[in-house]
Amino acid sequence: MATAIEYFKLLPKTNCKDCGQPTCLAFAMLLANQKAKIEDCPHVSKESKAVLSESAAPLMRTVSVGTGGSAVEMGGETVIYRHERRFVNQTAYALTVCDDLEGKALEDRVNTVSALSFERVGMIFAADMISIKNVSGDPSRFAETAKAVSALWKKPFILETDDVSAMEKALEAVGKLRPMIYGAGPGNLDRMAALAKKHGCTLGIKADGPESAADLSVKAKAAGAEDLVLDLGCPNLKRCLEDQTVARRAAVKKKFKPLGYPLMNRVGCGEYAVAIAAVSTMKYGSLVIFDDLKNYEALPLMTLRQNIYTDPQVPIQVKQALYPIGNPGEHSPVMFTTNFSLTYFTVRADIEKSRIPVWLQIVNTEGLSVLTAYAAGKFEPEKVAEAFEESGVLSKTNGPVVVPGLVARMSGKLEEAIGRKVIVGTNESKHIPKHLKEITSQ
Amino acid sequence: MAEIPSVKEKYTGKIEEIVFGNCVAGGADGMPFLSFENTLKRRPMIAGEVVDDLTDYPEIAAEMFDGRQKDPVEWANMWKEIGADMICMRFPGAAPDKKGTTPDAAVSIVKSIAEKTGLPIMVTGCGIPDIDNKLAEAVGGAMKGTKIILGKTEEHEYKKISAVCVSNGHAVLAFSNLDINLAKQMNILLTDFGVGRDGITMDPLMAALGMGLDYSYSVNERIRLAALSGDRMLQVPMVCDCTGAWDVGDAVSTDDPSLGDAKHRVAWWEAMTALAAMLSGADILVMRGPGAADMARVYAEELTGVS
Amino acid sequence: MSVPPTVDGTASKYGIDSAEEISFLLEKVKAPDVPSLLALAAEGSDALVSLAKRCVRAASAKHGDNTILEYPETGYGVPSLYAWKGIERLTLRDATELLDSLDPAKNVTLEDGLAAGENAMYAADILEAITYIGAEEANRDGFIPDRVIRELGLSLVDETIPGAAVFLGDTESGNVARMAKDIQSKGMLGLVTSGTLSPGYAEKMRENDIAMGLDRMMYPLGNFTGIVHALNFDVRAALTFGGVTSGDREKLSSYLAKRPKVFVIKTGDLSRLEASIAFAALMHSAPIITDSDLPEVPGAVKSTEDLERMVQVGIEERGIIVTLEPLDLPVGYGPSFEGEVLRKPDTYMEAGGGRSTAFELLVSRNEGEIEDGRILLIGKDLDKISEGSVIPLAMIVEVYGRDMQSDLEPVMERRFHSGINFAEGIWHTGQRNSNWVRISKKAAAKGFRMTDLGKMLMHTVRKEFGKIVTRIQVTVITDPDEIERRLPAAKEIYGARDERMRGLKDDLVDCFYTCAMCQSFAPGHICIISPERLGLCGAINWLDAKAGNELAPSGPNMPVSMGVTLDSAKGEWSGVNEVVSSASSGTVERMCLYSLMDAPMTSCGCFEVIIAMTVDMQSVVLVDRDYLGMTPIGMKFSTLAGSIGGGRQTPGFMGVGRKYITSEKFIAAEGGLPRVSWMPKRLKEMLGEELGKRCQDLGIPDLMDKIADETITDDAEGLMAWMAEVDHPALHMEPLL
Repeated sequence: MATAIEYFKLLPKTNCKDCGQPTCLAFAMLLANQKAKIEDCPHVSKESKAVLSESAAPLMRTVSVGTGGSAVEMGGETVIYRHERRFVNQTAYALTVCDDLEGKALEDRVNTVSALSFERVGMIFAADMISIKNVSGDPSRFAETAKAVSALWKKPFILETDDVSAMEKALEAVGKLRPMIYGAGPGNLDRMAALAKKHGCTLGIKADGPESAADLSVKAKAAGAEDLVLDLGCPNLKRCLEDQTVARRAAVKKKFKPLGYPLMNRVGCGEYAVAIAAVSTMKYGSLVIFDDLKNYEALPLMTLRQNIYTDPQVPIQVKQALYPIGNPGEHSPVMFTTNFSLTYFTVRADIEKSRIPVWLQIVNTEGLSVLTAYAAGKFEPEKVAEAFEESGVLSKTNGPVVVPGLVARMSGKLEEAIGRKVIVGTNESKHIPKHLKEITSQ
Repeated sequence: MAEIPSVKEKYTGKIEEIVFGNCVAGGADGMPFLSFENTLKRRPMIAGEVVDDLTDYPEIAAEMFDGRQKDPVEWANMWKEIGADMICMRFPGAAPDKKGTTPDAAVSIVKSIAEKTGLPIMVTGCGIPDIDNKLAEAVGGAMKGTKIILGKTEEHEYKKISAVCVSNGHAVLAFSNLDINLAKQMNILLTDFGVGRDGITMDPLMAALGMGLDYSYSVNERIRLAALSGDRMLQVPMVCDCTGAWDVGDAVSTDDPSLGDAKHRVAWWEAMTALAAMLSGADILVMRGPGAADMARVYAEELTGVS
Repeated sequence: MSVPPTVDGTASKYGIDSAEEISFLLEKVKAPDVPSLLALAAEGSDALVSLAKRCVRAASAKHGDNTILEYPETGYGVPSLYAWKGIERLTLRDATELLDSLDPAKNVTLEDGLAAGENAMYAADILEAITYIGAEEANRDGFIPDRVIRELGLSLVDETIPGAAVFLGDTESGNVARMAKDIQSKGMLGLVTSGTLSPGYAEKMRENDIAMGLDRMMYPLGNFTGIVHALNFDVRAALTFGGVTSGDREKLSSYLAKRPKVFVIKTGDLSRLEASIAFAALMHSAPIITDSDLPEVPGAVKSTEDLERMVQVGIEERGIIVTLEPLDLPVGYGPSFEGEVLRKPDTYMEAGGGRSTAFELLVSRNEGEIEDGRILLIGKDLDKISEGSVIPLAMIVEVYGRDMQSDLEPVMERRFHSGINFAEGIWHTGQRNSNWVRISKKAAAKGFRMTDLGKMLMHTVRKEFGKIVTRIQVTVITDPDEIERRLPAAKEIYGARDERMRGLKDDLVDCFYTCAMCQSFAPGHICIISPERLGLCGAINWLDAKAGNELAPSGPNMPVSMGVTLDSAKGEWSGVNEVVSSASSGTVERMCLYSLMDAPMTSCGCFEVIIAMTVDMQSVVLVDRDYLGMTPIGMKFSTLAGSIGGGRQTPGFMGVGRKYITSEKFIAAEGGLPRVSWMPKRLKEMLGEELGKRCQDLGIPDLMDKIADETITDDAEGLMAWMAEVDHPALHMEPLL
């Protein structure tokens, strides 16, 4: 990976701002962090561009399904372990809609998939794609179902069939929406690859282990299809973990191009399918297609995905706001802490344990934990007072204001800033229930 | 067929093996379950959690033990029937504002569990150092001759439990708070104190799914990678406590029907925490729910390739 | 009071009528140098072995030579033989064989002394064990049963009981009582011998009503060879708690070197018995503190004439850490009071803050100069000071520790602040002779006294630095004349410290330090802290890191030996590269301490200031965390921080601590301070004098005025124009790329 300076050397250094950045240096910084593309600079010389795209040549191809803002990107990964650098594109989950459904039944099915959605830490977790599966054996049905789904489902989808003529027909109907073509195997690779090339679609290859996947990807590339997703055909957890590890290491560490593509799994439904999906989410899968996924399976799985794909250097944050816990009233205590998600969840869980209603004010500390935020000057009494002001919590209750024990030293200044006495709370969250009982019994 | 370059890593380190009765923890010489580099065919041990006081124990979990959770020995025996490899006996009730379980009472519970189940045991207290030290001293002395794990020790509170372990041949549970350097420092402190290499297990804090699992997963991976790369002070078996899953609001909430059945959900919550723990290097998993424990064991067997 | 036994009485204890060895062993002798000490030990050892042989013969005759020799209530037979020689079962016949097999003592080398001591120990243990054959009396002075070890040993091993003192010899009764109280107040264990021909420690303790016994933490060991019970107690602690197996000498030695922490206090003239057993004590890593004219052996024998401080010296010699007693104050104390604001109307009394003369100082002294635990008040106490007073105040903490270094004084002194602020109603700010203290009306009403300030300081220093300083004396002064008298000396020390800081140069020290505190969120990052480059968070300089390492040797601050200098201009050393490479798991292979462009230090995320190359590649800008506006390179602090943080090495960009800017080594490889073309106005003001002085030193006094800020420009073109206008020195340097 090139550094900002290496990119900068190759830029025109005119600071023309045509890329949208105030200086070439700022643009170089974005390039180095993979937040900009070299194409964004209209003035870069051909020679530089060649050098730059070579040095920026991805170890793993990034492919996309769908069009515009709703497109799903997969691949583009650069490391083996998430502590090295953030994993780039999170595992996509697709649910199946079979082409033997029509009318109301089809609509219901699509609605069920759409309804599989949760909000957690201010983020929406949902299924990313629908895989339209050709079970009817009828190419026209397949195409019609695809068309019908595309009217009901606004996110990208996958066309799933081994039948080249069915695929062709469906693509004629919905190819403009850039669905993923899933079903290229040794028997139909050339024709499927031609279709992918023709419609500019990503092609899913069904292989049997890393070796065959490498063979097939080379052939597909030769046939003109470069946007590939490899299904290593892992039948169980062990193969999933080991084969996908082999593929990822070969691509990223050994720069082995034939495996430099995102990986996928086709599973059924139920417990074992979810277990494979969980392993694949942690270990290098970019797409899992399920027959079905229950809500109680989806929420933990999607939480796992969010955990694994979060930037290890950027903590997950919750919104600065007032969070009432357990119906607090006009005498309930006010507690506050930082917006680092872990801190929030821990404090929240401990307040809930006490069964005492509390107004919990979250203060935006850019995701830093209590002590770190305090040390960095992001958890100052003034900021806390501002957050109180914004939420109006102090007019909702005359209860005691509790300062986190670790930042007790802000209590004096906070008292001045809010014009109210404060109580120093506990150093550790786990002691909150006991402390709350003490202060509310007085 | 295309020739795939070898991706086997050449590690120089190996995780220490600790023998608990018929079970062995540790021994890995590659990243978890990768048979092309990890020569060990041994799955992580599953420890079923038993508590002496149900005050703070979630109702939804208690319901799964058919009333047998009221007697720790009976409860432990149920874990054995389910297929647990170890019992994690916790004494939250030793706290003065709880049941007030005495060291003698703890000894009798632990001894009975050992006799009844024949399984190895991990014993932790209520989190109040003075009480836990006395408890560990009593239990450790009474269990001399049968290797157990005693915890938890922390940076500023490890000497008593360590001394108990060294003198009675037990293993210390060395706790550190999500930080590879602190984990290492704990092991240095224990080693320096005279705890042998077969006497340390480390608990680098397994945060549950959605509660910081991302941190734990990476800390665990870094610990394991550093150990395999030759850092002797990190080559000790790793204990991952997955029971934190039951404290996650979204895992156990019954308020929102769109989240689906809570019992299934929390089972998955804990099982996925366990999967993340074992893929990142866990050698012993502490589990609360019987369903989740069973899933963890079955998946571990399959990933290892043994049953 | 019991009459001390005679020589014959002692002989009869071992089952023989008389023995000239006993008189020979007890005879008072002089050992002014090492050779004579070795000679005495050898003579003592041989005499003891000879005595033991006779007694074993007598016992065999009486009890039969198949009789097993062992102590009551132990699983370790004759413990010294069990532990050191691996002999788990010993009959009288075996004992004879064993004694016969011992080589006569030699007296040339230290090893000879240790061998003599070992033989003496076996002989003594056998002699004592003989006295238990067929004996029925319980609870007599002597052998300590296993059950006591099980009860107390664990506390001794985990240092709940910080250590044990063995009392041997003879001294004046008052001293005995004082020493006994001293160890009791520190929660230590006492092992007390009796006298043989005249009253010894045990007799004098009884005389002073100091309770002794198995449950009193003060054990009487008996007279003559009874001293061996201290040793057989020690080894059994290792066998019981250390997992040491019988006969594993190496493991036993290394365990005993660490714990239990035992030392021997030997007063009065020496005997041959004591000389030989003293070497056995050394085998057990127990140093001997003595008032007699023994030769000093570092770590082994320490002489002191100060009888009052023998226990203290023993504690220091053996590295015992005495448990901190809780702080007893009339007001609340803890971090929760740290944030209190004490306003004028609530103030009873104040000092300093420009209103009166005040200063605070921590200074190290020699061991004889201070008395541990002493708190002195010179001048009026708070009850004699009227409400609303502004008084002068000095707080002086004097410390001693074997490993104390004057470099650590300022580090410790800085802890006064939280140590005082933790008290409810007491407020402190500032430092040195610009400090400011207020005491609230409430605290005064609760009975707070000036000496309580002393208690807090003593507690703080002991709690934070007890591993380094073992003696602390605090003086609180409110007397104006005394303060004025002492102020010049304090100022001189402050000046010397500043001088020392200025003189601390990277090429004058033998190691740098790491700081790995940020690795939890920036795995690849490690700070290398040198005298001329502090940690990038600005919070930890080289001295802090050094103190950190002293306090927690396995903590985040590890010494880095620099190894081979690869490039002195860029600040590249082989040792630093190795540490950085290993800390980052090989991701970062090189680090140049003084360079921005070539392998700069990684940045975690806590940096105070970012250095960034300008777009014309001619100069650098500095931007600090508090500046929220745009910079001439087109990126704000937050954007830059997001791009360079997380432990990456980003040539052209680097996070640093603010104080590094005025260091002589500030990006020395790229031309140093004259490279800087822009920084936020407030940062410039904060650096103020230091920066001005640095410009002077560089011979470019007007450099300050040539560095632009946001009031002049915040874009690239504007900066280039400004630099041309003022003819900025960076324009005359090589481009950075």
